[in-house]
Amino acid sequence: MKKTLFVKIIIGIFTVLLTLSLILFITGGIERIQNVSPDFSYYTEESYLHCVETQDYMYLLSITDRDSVIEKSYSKTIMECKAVAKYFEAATLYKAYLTTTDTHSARIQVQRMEQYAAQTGQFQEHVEKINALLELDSIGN
Amino acid sequence: MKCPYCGSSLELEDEFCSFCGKPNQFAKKHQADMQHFNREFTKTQQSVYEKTHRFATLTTTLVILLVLVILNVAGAVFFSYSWRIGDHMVKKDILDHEEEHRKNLETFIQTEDYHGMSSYYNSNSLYIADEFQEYNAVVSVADNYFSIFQQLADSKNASYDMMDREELSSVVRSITYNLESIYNVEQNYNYRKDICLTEEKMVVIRKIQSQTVAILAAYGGLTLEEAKEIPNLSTSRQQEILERSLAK
Repeated sequence: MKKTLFVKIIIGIFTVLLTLSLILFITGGIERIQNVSPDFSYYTEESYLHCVETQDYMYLLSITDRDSVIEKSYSKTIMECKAVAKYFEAATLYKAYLTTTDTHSARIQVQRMEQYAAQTGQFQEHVEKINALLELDSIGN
Repeated sequence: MKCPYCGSSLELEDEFCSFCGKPNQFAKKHQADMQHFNREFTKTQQSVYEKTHRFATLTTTLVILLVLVILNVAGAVFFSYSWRIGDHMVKKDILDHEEEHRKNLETFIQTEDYHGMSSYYNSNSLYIADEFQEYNAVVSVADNYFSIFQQLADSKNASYDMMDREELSSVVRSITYNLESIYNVEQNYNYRKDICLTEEKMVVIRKIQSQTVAILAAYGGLTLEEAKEIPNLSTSRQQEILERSLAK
């Protein structure tokens, strides 16, 4: 009777261990599959809005560029935030190219500035804020 | 059987002869035998049931353990191949959108949005697919360029005049490391040079280099001449010039 109980306990322990290791193998495998491609789900609308509100355009640009997975759909607000970020990048480069008098590249950046400025929507005011930050009186001058 | 007294027919179970009324002497023994047989039968039956039940329980347990062992082996194989499975799935997805990806990368290059290009490349894991390996060197240079862009053009967070010497040196060391990767790509980059450093890709890399010069001149406190000259200087000289210009 004692022997039977002992065997039952051993079998029970084995069953639990094997079940746990099976769960670990499966969940670990699934996690590794998911980790092959980067996950940007943590960039929420709030992340974008926070950057715009605090005028942290560099970080906004950083998350805008990183969060560019094909076929991912973005809300209108996020798209407008992304436009602000890209406007900031283009304006920063425009100013840089003015310094080096590279007119061809400066023109490309002006086109980008115009394109993104038109997409800023509710964040239109940030175009002026970025211009003021970069001390750009008006684009093209 | 027949009654030993009157010869009429009797059943073994009859206690008395229904014809002459005499007792059936075999009936008592028969009943005792039957009770004994029934007891024996029940005992044997119980023993067989117990043995069968024990066997069934043991077999079921062993089968469950065996199935679990087999599933664990399958799980271990699945785990060890999970990278490859994920890799294969991502590759398939990339190749399903190959044309779109290529078009997007070229648009980024056309509009001189090099960080947009490198981020797009990395975000969509294009480095996994052989078809996009030709962009590896350009992406590497673009990543280093953006690091300088972030360090210098972030007017909100960069206040180098407020930094202590240690912090400023750290920033400058990082910038010179990036400059080395941007300007000496032909010497430093060794992976698949035949496809990654073609003349077409070198044109893009040279444009990124020009963009870096523009950033250094506009936001690094360097004169245009210094910015153009800095890639040709030794690392220590680069650090000296950058520390001086950023501390202004």
